[in-house]
Amino acid sequence: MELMRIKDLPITADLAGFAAVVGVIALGAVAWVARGGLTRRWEHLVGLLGLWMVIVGQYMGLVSSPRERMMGEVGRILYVHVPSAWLTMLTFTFTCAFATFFLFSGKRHWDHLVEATAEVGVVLSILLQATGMLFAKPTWGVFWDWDPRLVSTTVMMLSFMGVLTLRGLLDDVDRRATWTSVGSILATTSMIVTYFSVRWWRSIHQMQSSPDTVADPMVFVLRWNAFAFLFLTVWFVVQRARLSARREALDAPPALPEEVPA
Amino acid sequence: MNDASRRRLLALGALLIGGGAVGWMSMSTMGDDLVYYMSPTELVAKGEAGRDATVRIMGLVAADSVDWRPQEQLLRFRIDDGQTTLAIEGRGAPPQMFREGIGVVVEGRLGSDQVFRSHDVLIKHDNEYQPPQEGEHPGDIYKTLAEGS
Amino acid sequence: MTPEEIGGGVVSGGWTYVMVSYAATWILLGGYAVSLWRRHLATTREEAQGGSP
Repeated sequence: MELMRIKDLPITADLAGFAAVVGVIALGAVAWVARGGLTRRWEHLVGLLGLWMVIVGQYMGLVSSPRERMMGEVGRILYVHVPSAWLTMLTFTFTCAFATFFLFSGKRHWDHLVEATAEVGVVLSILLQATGMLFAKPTWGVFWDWDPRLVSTTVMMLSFMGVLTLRGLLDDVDRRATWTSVGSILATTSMIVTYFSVRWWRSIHQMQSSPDTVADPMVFVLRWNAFAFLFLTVWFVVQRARLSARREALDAPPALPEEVPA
Repeated sequence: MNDASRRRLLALGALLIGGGAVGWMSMSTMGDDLVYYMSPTELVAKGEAGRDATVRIMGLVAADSVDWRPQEQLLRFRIDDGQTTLAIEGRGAPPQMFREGIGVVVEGRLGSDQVFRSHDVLIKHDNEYQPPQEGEHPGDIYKTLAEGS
Repeated sequence: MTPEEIGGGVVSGGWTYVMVSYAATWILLGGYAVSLWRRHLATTREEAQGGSP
């Protein structure tokens, strides 16, 4: 029975895996920016790998993976819904990290990455909502309900859309970068609430799945698709960050070099 | 104050506000009054106050309790939270995943006759995903579950 | 639709939901890739014109 609040459940294994992925990418990003950022186009390889993995992953999801015991064929939606959920969370985590990096360092690379991750995260969260609704109708019986998980996910999506809208309204490059970052850090609150919503409150949405609750052949397909989404997301983010850098150079050519200590 | 230290101050402020908000939400009991659903026990404990108000309740569909009359579109079953059993009466067929032993969230009103009249039955399933077992056909699951429980 | 029997507990069919979900993935991710590509192209054109007018 899940009638109590499930606050005290161990989440360590869950978060440890997440932290490992976050750590590896964060180190990569820091190293990349330290070496001068957007100089080489290495990301197309990652993008092609992601594309190939998505094609294979969708074949596995649609054809070769087994039906779910109770959900039948509809269970296959898991393989696009759960990766989009993971990657939405991961991407917004990096929006928050890059925003913090920007505010502390003032380096423009971080601002471009904030804009890029926020926009890609919004795209992923739209996919998350769309697949979630299509999953909910045949299983729960409704497309949408005023449930804590669904409402908090929507708040998260709208928060980051709001941050991007705010960014579009500001013309001054410095103010734009600063307030995008502040807004992103505040919007991240809604992402953390979304993650914990199924533990803090009663919800029709089930708890996060883990390898303990998903059968092995399905875990493999799920992981494959998650990595496919991860590589595509990295490609999107780098492409988008390059675009930000190009636009900025075009719209506001730097008048003065960055402050150099005497 | 120069730009750099102003930015750092803003960062600290945003992190503190964000972290504080999350911390507060994790500790607060705000959610307790705004529950998405109640258990049958909680609803019955409310006594008169729980009657004739539209609420959602969640429980497991009790064994051998489902009575479906397709001609009248009438669905009767009982839900159970381990302590309290409540009779549910609704119209229309439930979602396909409906079966004895599964979790349901039922929206409706509790009448003075202690029968909960529902206008919506939603399925709350757990986070387990498994392929069908060897030689298992969809229709058999219901039977094995009925025998097992 | 009035099913005679209920309580099977198993979703039958539902391929439409599956196909729409997978199609949504392609449309959204593919659409976003196209949008990135087009914005890069537009930027290249503007750079060739020597900055914004």
